[in-house]
Amino acid sequence: MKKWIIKISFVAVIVVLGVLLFFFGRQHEIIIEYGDIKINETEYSIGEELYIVKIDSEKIEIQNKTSKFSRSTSTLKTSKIVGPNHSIEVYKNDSPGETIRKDNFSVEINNNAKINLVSFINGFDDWYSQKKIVYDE
Amino acid sequence: MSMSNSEKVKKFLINNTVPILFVVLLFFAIPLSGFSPEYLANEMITRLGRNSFLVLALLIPVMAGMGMNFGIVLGAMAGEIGLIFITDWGVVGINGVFLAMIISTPIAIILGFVAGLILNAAKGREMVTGFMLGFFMNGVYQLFVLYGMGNIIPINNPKILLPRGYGIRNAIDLVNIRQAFDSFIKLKIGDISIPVFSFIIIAILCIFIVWFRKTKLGQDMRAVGQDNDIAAASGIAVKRTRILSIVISTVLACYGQIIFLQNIGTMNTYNSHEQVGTFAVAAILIGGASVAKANISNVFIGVVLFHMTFIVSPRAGKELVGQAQIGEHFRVFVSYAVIAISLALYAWRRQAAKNREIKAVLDEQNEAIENRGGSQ
Repeated sequence: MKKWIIKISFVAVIVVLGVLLFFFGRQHEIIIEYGDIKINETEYSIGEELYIVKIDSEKIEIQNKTSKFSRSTSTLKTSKIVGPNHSIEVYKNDSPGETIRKDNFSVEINNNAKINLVSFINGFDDWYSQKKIVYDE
Repeated sequence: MSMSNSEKVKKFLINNTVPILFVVLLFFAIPLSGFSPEYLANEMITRLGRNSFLVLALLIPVMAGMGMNFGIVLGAMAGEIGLIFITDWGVVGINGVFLAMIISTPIAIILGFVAGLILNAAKGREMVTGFMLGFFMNGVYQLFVLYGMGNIIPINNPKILLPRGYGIRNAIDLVNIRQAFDSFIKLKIGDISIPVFSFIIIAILCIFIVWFRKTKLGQDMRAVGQDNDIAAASGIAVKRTRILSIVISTVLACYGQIIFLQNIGTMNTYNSHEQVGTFAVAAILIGGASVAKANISNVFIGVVLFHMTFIVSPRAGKELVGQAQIGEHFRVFVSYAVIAISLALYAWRRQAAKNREIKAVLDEQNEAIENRGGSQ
């Protein structure tokens, strides 16, 4: 009996470990949207400056397509994050010590994350949303 | 009776024919290849980290007298199934590697158990049976992966599915876990990078094997390996012990294949496991092991000598006859030749020992007859 209890406990621990590894090791896509937005008839934009979006320890450079220095015409940037809990910090490239905004977010196991940068840096609450993982061909 | 020095040297040479042959071969091939010592050291360290675990998986069945377990191919298949799942689920890094190990462990246990049952039924012919079992299971694996995955078992990631909607693609990019173990703790000395974490895992396995030999089960396995009948007479469950040795070997091979593939970074779904058994067996035999006796040092000597041959032979072949392909053929030839030579040497030694025993018995009998004749 004692042997069986030990065996079953061992299997249960392994199963729990497997679930935790899945939960904390799953990769999610994060989409950063930085196109202009309109809220209450007011238009918001990130302007022409180069922003650094720091998600956990990864730094992503963001610059509006209207900027003459921009090399991209898209208003979306994607990156990968691993696990459920993350932090986001945004600052301008020329002033790295001055954080514009810092916050935390979490991603559910079957979702990808979407961040609206304009909304985030202007202090709105609806800067973050999630979408179910869909595989593209 | 103490042996003279010449007898000792002779015995040493006979016992280490294969490693000595390879040392001599490398003595000529390394200068011919023109590789720098730094490059060779780097390659050797990488390959030691990549292959040692798989080769270590062969030790326990040898202890139980089951010879070289060509059935480690089954464990390799289990490991690959784990890797397919974590790639589909998008679990990355070291978490992905450990999760693949957890997923594939029950599969490896079941396959090992089935293999053990079959090998028990084919007592005395374990190696050839294990070899054929690998081929048979390859068919089952292909059926499972080619028709079962995506059809019966849900696979969502189109990057690993065949365009028809079921079956796994021929090659899977393991970019999510590439070198997850190797780069987890990495040490760089000059141009040489050392995958410390992989070596820690290998060291843990070595300690486990040393400890395991001293356990009750380990002692039982050694007793079974020496003589099945005597072991059975002393109350050891011979069949169970033999099955357990194969199960442990298969599970270790499964982990070994995962470690191997995370280092390579690409999985050839239908071929990666095919030659795992042959190459691992060839490596341990080159290290001086025999079908009946193998230890940890044989593994490391074997991996170094075997893979050094792998590295230098294409270039040496090119320098010697102008074609690198010769070297490539040479290394495949070497793998099979070493297995054949080692098996032949083992059979020859066993026959010689048997002859010596018979001769000793006959001499004793003759002596007894002569003594009796003298006293009458």
